[in-house]
Amino acid sequence: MDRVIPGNAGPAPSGVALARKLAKTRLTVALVLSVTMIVIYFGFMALFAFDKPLLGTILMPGLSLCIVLGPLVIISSFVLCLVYVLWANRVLDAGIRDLR
Amino acid sequence: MGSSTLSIGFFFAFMALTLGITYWAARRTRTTEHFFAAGGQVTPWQNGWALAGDFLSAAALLGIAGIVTSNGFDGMIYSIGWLVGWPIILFLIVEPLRNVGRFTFADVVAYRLRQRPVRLAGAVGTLAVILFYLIAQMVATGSLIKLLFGLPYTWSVVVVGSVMLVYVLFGGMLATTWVQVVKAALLMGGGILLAFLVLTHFDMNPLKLFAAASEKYGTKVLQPGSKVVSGQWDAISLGLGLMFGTAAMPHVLMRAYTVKDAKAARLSILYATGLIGVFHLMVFIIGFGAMVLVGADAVAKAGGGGNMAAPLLALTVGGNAFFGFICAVAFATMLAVVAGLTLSGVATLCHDVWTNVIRNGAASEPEQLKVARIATVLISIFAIMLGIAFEGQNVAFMAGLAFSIACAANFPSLVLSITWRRFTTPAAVASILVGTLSSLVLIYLSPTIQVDILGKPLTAIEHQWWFVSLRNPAIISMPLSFAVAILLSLVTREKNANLAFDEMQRRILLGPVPPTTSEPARAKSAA
Repeated sequence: MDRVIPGNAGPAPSGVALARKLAKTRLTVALVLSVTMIVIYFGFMALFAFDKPLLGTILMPGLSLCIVLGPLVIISSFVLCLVYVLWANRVLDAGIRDLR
Repeated sequence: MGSSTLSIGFFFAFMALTLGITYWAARRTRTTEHFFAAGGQVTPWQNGWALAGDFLSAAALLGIAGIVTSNGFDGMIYSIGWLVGWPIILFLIVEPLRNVGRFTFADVVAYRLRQRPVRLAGAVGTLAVILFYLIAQMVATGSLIKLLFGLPYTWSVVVVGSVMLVYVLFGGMLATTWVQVVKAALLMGGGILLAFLVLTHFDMNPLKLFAAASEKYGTKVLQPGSKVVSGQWDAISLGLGLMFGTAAMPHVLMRAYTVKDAKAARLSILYATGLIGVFHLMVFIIGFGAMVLVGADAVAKAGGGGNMAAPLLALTVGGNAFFGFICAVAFATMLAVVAGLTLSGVATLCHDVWTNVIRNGAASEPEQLKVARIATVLISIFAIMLGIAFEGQNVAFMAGLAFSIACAANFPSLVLSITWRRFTTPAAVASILVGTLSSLVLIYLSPTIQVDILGKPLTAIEHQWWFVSLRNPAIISMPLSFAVAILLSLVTREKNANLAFDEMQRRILLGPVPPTTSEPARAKSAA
């Protein structure tokens, strides 16, 4: 009953149904990005905890694998934030405008 | 000493500026909305800097630089952990928080549940986090000022406690925000300059710095070790605590309310993440710089558990003036962080405990402000006393414990209240209390308290049945808290909570907007 038919020609879907759909989309995006972050971080921490020799591989003088991956985790956090904000500013905010 | 005079000069300049801001802010702080949320008028960019100011503690500059200097790469484990929680705040927490709540995280958890029990439990969780973190900050402050200015430890703690009291008491969130912004700008500026000066010694190439470090101390400084975080599961547990603890730190969450809407809150988290990330990358350079240019032994000899790495490096690469500047920045950092923490504790005591539990939501504005100010004085006195009582503990480590409690006590209930229809009052209360208590008990039974503080030999207790070898409790306490919440939600039913879920989801998107047009569903849900 709450399903929104795309390109509907009949009566406009109720605000409640639209809100529910948008909330669901937002949560899906949020969860996918959160899980990505968690996988990246705990992947790194798992290497740190359980495979120190691998993480300590010296790639060249002055550079080990952990010194490459550590900053990459930091950069990926920012990039994921950027992805969410770009998505939210374009898609989410447009959806919220439609709701209002 | 010239450098000491200079740093005192810099410090007084900072004090004069921030007290001026406080005076300005005090005249604009008339309501609780101003006192706790700066009237919602902070811009995203300002709030991003203020978040960085709130979050980058003495541990971030002095503590991590010190750990890197003495252990190499391992210091970065803390840097990374303190950053990866920010995306989680952005994705899951900040928009619901901004749109549903008013001053505290308990606003959101209690939104569709029964107010009094949930808020009371939320206050327990929040205050436990704040007090633990305050201890870490006050201890760092006291020992650092003693080291830098020769002022006795006790007096240092009293001075910092009193200045923070003035900021919060008179200037509320507006003054605190600007203190954070100024401090963050000084910290970023100082950090960038310090990292830059280090790199000028290595052809602007970090790899040459790392290579020099490994030539001097062996390649082990570029590799993960087990001194900083011992134990495999302890490392994972620390990671959990840092990531999800960051996402539930009360003073960070509170900043969501200082901006005008959810979009602004979202942007401010993005800016903060960028600033904090850049800062942590610089601290890594600074730590290695101190290792190579100052020497790990010289830093260790300077005392303060390695905390002198960054100031001594400043002395080496920039002379007395820069040393004085970095010392003053470190001082300002601690002052700003304790002010933010205190304010969030005050919000909990006043808004959650007094207004919504004791007065059942019916306290007048003047009364709330009065209670807020009394709470400010109480927390400040408490912070000073705890700072004095806990002299001599490792800063970064104590902060880690505060994060573990935040992660187990606040995070599960916050996320479940936002995302799960079935979540109920008993589940929320039990989850917060179990998270707090299990963290505290596990910490008490771990070597952190038993060996480091009570001084028992490890060999005498490690075979006791109650002994917990983990120094970071999050890996046990967080799943426990989630499990309790889910189980209790499944065996209890709360009709109102269930019904209010759709309305809350709408509000998460739309915020507390007044009904605009004719649509009946909207008018009903907003009424």
